[in-house]
Amino acid sequence: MSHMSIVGDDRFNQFIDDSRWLHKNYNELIKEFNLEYVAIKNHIVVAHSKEMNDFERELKQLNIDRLDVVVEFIRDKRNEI
Amino acid sequence: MYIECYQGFNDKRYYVPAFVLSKQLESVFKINFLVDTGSPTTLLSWNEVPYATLRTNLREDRIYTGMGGSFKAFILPECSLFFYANTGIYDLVVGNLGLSNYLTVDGRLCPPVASVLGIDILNEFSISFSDDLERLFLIQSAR
Repeated sequence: MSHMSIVGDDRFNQFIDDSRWLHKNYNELIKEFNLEYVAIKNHIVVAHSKEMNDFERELKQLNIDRLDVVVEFIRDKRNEI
Repeated sequence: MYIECYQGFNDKRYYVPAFVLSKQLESVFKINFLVDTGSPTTLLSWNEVPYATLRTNLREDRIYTGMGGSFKAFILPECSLFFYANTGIYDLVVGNLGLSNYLTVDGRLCPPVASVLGIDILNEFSISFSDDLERLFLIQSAR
């Protein structure tokens, strides 16, 4: 397996950019997707589901590689310790 | 060399994006780790790793305890972490990593929580904050 092809600059930059966008918009995402898995690519929610199995199935149906999206389970993190 | 961690807007904690590569399993995961100096161990959370894509013969690790209960973890063998540092991609060979089971030891579902970058790996770095406290830096002066 070539590490640099999987973990290259472009993929990393997109990962960081979408992660920042996710956290900046977290409270908006809670309003729409609370307690759901979401997949984000280029600042857009491209898939979402309440159950992980359904979520994985949706990604597969949409032909989305998990390494091309940021995945997050949306919940109110202020209540976590 | 430094790695920038950003603050969660909702919870004010600090996160760092990383790719986790398990050489033996030929698996790669994309994880936003919670920077957690209160955790002795780095641990991947079950809800951030697609179990379906893993081989099912993972060995079991020890029992971990948190506020959500006690759970066993599986061992992800021969792992490396890839961070994005100011100097480019920075890889850190970390050996075995734990992956939490989705069930607690008494059979309840573990709540979905963040994967944590614990003190076992954070000890490789010194930590500093930006003046506005919105960013945290993991700093390493030499390898």
